Amino acid sequence: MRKPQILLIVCLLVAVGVTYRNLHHIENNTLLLANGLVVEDTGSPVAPPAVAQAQAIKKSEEFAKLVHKEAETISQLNDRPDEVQKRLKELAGQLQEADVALLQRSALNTSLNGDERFLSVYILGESTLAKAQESLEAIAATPIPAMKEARLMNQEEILRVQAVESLREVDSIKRVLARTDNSFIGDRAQRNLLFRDGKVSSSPEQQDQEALNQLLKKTRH
Amino acid sequence: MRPKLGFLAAIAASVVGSSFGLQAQAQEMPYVDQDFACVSQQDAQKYINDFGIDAASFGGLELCDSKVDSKKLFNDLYIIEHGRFDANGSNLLIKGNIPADQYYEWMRTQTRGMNRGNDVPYATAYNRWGYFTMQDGWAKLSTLGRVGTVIHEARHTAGYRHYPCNKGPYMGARLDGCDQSYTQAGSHAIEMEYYAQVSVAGQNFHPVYKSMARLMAMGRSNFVFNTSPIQKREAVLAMGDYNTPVLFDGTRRYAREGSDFEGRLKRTSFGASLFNGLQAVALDMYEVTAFRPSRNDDYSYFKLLASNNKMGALKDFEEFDHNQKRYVAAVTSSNQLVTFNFPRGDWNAARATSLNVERTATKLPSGEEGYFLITNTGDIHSVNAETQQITATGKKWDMQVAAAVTYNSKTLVLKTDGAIYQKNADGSESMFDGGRFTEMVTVPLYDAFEVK
Repeated sequence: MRKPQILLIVCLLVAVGVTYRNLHHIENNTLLLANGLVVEDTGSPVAPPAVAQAQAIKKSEEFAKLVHKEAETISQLNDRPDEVQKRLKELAGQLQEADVALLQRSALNTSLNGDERFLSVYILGESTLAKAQESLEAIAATPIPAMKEARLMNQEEILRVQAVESLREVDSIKRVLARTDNSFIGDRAQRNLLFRDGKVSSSPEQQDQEALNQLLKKTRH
Repeated sequence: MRPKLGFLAAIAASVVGSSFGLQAQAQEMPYVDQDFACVSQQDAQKYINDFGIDAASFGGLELCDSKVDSKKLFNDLYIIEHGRFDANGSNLLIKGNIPADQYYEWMRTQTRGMNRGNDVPYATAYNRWGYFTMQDGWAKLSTLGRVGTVIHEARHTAGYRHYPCNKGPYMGARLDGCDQSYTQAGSHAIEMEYYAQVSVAGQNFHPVYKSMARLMAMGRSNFVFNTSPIQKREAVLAMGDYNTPVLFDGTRRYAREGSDFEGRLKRTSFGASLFNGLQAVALDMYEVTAFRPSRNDDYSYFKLLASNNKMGALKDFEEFDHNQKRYVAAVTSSNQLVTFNFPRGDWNAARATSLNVERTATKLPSGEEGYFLITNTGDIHSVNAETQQITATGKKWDMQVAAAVTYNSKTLVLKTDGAIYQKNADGSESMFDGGRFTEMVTVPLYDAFEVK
């Protein structure tokens, strides 16, 4: 083999090696981005922060649209409520940390209709994100605004009760207890506390279903 | 080349995951169908005819857009017409004030007309001779709240009226707002029965609608009936020898675990505590560990004692509910009354009582409930929970009585001889338990209470 040929082969091998290294670097960064992780700029061709932020906002907007659409189905009947339940779980599974604040704002926005507000709390309760739990605590502890109309006050109460019943951490429930002077919310917090603390085996929901069943028996003629 | 394929796959996953993932999944959901949430022209016309709906007053005939009030009303009536309930082997469909499978037909017979107005801003809706006027508040409610309101109004047509409330937000209101009881079967009862039916036996309702129904039923049971149909279970706890509490629950008597902590027995919203003026230790109603634990009470509002760093040792401390509001009040060693301000998260400024307070109580031997200051001479003073105004009642605490409670509609009195007596209707007293007790309170027990 002549010298120039050997030199050419060596150059080609070096070029392939450099290309492989660069491609591998790009792939790693892309995977990190796909998983939603923040990557320091190391000179690799990743999306600039403004683009990533815009994508996050777009995703949040898409999520808000889904919640809004789902809220509309609350006034519809469905022969497969189990499928709806599954869909709600999937929706909660798509919840990103950036969406949590949006749902909290919706839950406490008195100008929105009751369905969308209650659904926002419901989705937060189905989510496994720690941030969703923090948000539920904040919702449950938010004072009820003064309202002339008792039914609207009642709506504010049950929204907060749904939030407090969705809390899973004992310390979080105790913090809500120390901040609410509403006896209904306080009672539900204590029921959930007993359940989460392992003192009783049935959840507040199971206790209610039993109580309501008894109530219906009273009116059977 | 594997790395290159991996790179391409990563690019693809990234693009799908970040840009199109939500949309792709949304397309599998039924609600992207434009017609999904529309009511048919035929159904709308039937509702207009059946209920005498003035569609124009509800914003005009709208079949699809739920932001328009007429569509809201059509949704409500559709749910009433087509909502299904499970008999669940207990004949729920046959019995009840309104049989669950007959809501629509019953509504139709009770409604002469429906229109939308805003002439009574403090009301959600009103019924005048079978003509319902839905107010602005109705339009802001959830679907369940609106359906409940319509059912509520329909009951008034048969002449069921409201009565003055003895508790809750309607108490003292210009208009009567309560039913006497659930069994009276008035508007609140029919509405609550609907919520209970949806929660317990609803078959084709949205899970969120069902969840709201359960909470609505539980929440409204607290304040729209003068006698609540769902009472929290109560038991009696008395402190016996060696600081060992005894729990009386129904016909059963359980020894509970005491604590080596020295303090007075107090009822709390969570159960009971021992309180020594500076701190409170929770007593466990639910299990016995044999360790006589001294756990600080951070389950009830006695935990607020931890934030009491200005007042020093307290003479007494109470937490109690009045008109759906929870209150915490204490008397300091210098006879000052101090209450907790929940919205501010701090204690209000203390105010002098000009009394020598020995102890406080939330129930008198006569059965009267409230917040009372008992002086060293036995004089009883009542405190207005909201204004903290103190009023002499002119009554004296019987010094032979250590404590009095109401239990299962009976008044029980613990006397200084250590026995608990039951007051009979003819004024006589009979022995309830002859143990040697020093203190006695009632304790709230939750329905799922399990004694271990």
